[in-house]
Amino acid sequence: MTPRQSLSRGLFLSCLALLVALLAPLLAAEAPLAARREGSLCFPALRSIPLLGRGLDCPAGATLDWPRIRKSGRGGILLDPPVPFGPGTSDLDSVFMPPSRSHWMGTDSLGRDVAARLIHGFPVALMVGGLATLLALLLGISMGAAAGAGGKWLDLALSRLIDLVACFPTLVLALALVAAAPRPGLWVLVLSIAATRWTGVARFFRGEVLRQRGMAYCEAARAAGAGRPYLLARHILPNALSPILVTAAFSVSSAVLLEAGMSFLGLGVPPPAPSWGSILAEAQRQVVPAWWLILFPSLALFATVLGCTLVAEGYRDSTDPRITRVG
Amino acid sequence: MGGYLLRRLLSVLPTLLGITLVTFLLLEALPGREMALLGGEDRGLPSSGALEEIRRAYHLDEPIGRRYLGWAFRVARWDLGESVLDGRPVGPILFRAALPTLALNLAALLMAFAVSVPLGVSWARRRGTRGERTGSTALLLLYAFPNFAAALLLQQVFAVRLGLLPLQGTGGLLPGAPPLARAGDFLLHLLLPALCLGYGSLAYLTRFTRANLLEAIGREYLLAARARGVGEAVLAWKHAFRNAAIPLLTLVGLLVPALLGGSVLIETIFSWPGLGRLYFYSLSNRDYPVVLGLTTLTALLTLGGSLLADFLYALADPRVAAQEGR
Repeated sequence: MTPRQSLSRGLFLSCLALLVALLAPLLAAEAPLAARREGSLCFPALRSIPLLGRGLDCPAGATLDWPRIRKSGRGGILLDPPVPFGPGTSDLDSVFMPPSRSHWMGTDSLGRDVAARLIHGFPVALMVGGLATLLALLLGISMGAAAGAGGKWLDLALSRLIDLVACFPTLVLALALVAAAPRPGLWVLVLSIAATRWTGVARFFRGEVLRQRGMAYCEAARAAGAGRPYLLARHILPNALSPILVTAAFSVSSAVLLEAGMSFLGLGVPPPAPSWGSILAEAQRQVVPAWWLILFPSLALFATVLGCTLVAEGYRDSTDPRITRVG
Repeated sequence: MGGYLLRRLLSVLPTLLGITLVTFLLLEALPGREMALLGGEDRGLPSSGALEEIRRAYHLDEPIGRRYLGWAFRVARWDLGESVLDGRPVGPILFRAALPTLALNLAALLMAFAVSVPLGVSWARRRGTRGERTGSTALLLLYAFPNFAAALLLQQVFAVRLGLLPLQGTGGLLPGAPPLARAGDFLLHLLLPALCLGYGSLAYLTRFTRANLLEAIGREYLLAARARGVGEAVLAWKHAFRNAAIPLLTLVGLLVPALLGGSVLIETIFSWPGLGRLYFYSLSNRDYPVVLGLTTLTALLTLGGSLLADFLYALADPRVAAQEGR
């Protein structure tokens, strides 16, 4: 693959994942997309959209039992979502069903539809991965800037701190942080992952600050009266941005993996929320070999990680002059 | 060289102190420690008097600084305390878990190197061919497949469906069985976990080998060897690879801790009684002396790994040590 191919394929995969994440409430929902109740057209699946959604719901929409209405074959359903189940809809009459026409990725131990949980796992995974990366970048850049521009002693102290945090394997540290948090939650998870992933960016940016500070253009900017924060934000950061973006793309994929791994161990996304890791954990707990509980979430993870990796590698290789010259 | 060695060793000390301090503080924050010490699960909430007593018995009522110092001094004498779950000393617990982890990681590393070094060498020779492009894409796909998901899948296929390989653990034979049979049994149990732990680094290692070899190939001494009539295969393996192998060696030092961290999931899935599984088990059971000992050990290994990498590099390239000395 050439860098350009790698970048475009990676972007395609990532955009696809993002699209699924954004459209998850429409792709898999208990309520139909469109229905005719009491003579008026309504869109019950859109109810979860903030502000606008409530008005689109059927009259007394919250009290309707859509699975039963669907089974009875009446009730004016016009258009069902591709997966007519919610991520939490459990049906104890169909537990551990292998993939079939009604549940095309099978069901789990509570009779929940795996496809619905998988689809609703996209926003969870991407949100945790994206937010953790964003926080890690912010922390890494500010720590690196402080170490690089803050004088000898601050540099020494922060460099030791970076070494120290980097000594812990990420999963080990993230697990300890989650376990030490007063109560579980999505934010605890995001913060724990971010806390383990900022050191690379910090180290890199510190080096960049030290390297660029001595360059002629920085001297010129200083001579023109630029202060230290202005110099950092306006000159040094933009010059170091593309390696940082590459790191960010790699970081999203490893944060998604970390989230899945922690959810697999039971210390990730708290239970009712769907996560690919917890679907995998469900498979591990069962004596009955339920391959569909392993295969489909694995593929979702694979596609997401592959997308991010391709973007990162393609972008890196197409912005690195040494590699493009070699061909 | 000696001075460089000493300086590098000394620079590790503050980091190590910091690591133990951070772990200690983190474990201070772990909720439910007194309950773990009481050993009670379903006896309801203990009275505040019982809690006070347990805190006094384990010196939890003393100031945190004094407890940290006490622990650090005991660790310096290799006394890591006892597990709160069963009272066994932590040192032997760690030692017993370290052996399976070591075996697992060594096997994974060996597998990864055995595949990626020949691949990297041959791809460097056939640069730009169709075979190389397909191969490196395949390795990239493999890299993106999460290893714990692969572990679950392989377990399902080879252990549950086909029954070819054991499901989990390290061996199923009784202690009385002949040693050779037990070794074979152990290797069979080792196969899947080592495979899962190692395959993710294939893409990286192969690329690394290839890049280093390409750099070595560009040098003049190779041209000289070729002019003398040395064959292409001998040229690649004997002349270029020897020079490319040095950075590869230093990589081992950096790779070891990553494998160790990664083995938490793999060891849990395969019930492999190593450090990773021990870490997760003791963390969930608030067995904080074991967790403390484990993190200290892991940090030691990580630091040791990067030290080893530095030394190997300095040995290979004396300019590094000379530059640092100035």
